[in-house]
Amino acid sequence: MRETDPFERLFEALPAINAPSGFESRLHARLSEELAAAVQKNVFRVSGIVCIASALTMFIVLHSPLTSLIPQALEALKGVLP
Amino acid sequence: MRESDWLEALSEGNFDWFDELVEAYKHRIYALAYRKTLDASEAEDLAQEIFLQFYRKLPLFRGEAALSTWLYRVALNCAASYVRKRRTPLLPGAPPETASEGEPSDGLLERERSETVMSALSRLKNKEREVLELFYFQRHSTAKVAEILGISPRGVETRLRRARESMKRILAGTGYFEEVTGDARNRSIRALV
Repeated sequence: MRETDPFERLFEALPAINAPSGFESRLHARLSEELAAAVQKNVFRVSGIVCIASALTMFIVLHSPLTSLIPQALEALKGVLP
Repeated sequence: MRESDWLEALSEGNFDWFDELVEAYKHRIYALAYRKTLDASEAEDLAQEIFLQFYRKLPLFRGEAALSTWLYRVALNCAASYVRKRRTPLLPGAPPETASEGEPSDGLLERERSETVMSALSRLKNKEREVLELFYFQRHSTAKVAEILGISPRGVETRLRRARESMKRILAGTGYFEEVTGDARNRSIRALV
C-alpha cells in the first residue's frame, strides 16, 4: 500500500533531517545540571524536615504538662535537701 | 543492546542504557521536533526536552507498552505543550542540518520543496499532523500509530484520510502535490536528473 501511496513520494522527496553534531553532549550537560539540582533540592528538603521536627519537639517539650512540673519538683527537692 | 535489554536493565534500576536510546532515536526525535517548530535551534531545545522528560518519567514506566511507544507519547505531548506555550506564531526559522548531497542548485530546490511541505504541515490540525508524522516520517505501521496515539487502527486510518485531504487542499494552491506525485512531476524530475 505504501508503494502506491502518492504521499510516500511527496514526503520521501524531502531531505532527511539529522540532529546537529554535539547533540548528545549538550543533552548530557542538561541532564547533569538537572540531576545536580534534584540532589540539592533533596538536601534542602531533608534540612527543612529536620528543622521543622526540631522546632516541633521544642514546642512539645516546653508546653508539656510534665515540663510545667519541673519548677515544682525543684522546689520540692530544695525542701527535702539539707 | 535492544529494547528488551533496556527493559531488563531498567527493571534492575540501571539507567546506563539511556545513552544508547538517545543514539538510536536522536535523528528521528530531532526531525519530529523540527517539523513541529520549523527552527533548528528551537528543534534542538525541544528534542532535548523530550529526552529529559522521558528520563524524568522513566521511574513511572510500568511496561504496559513498548519503550519506543512511550518515547513517542512523551515526544508528542512535549511537542504539543511546547507549541501551546509559544507566544509567537510558527514561522520557518534556521534550517536544520540535512543529509543531502549534490549540486548547490539541487540543495536550493530541495530546500524550496521542503519549506513548501513543512509550511503545509504546520497548517494542519495537531491530530492530523501527529498521524502523518508517525505514519510517514517515523514510518510506523497503522497498529503502532494506534498504540502510540491510544486510538483504534480504524481511527488512525480515518485521521490519515482526513490529514491527506487537508494536505492536498493546502498544497493545491501551489500545484506542488500534483507536481510531485503525478505524471507531470515524474517527467519534470526525470528532465532535471
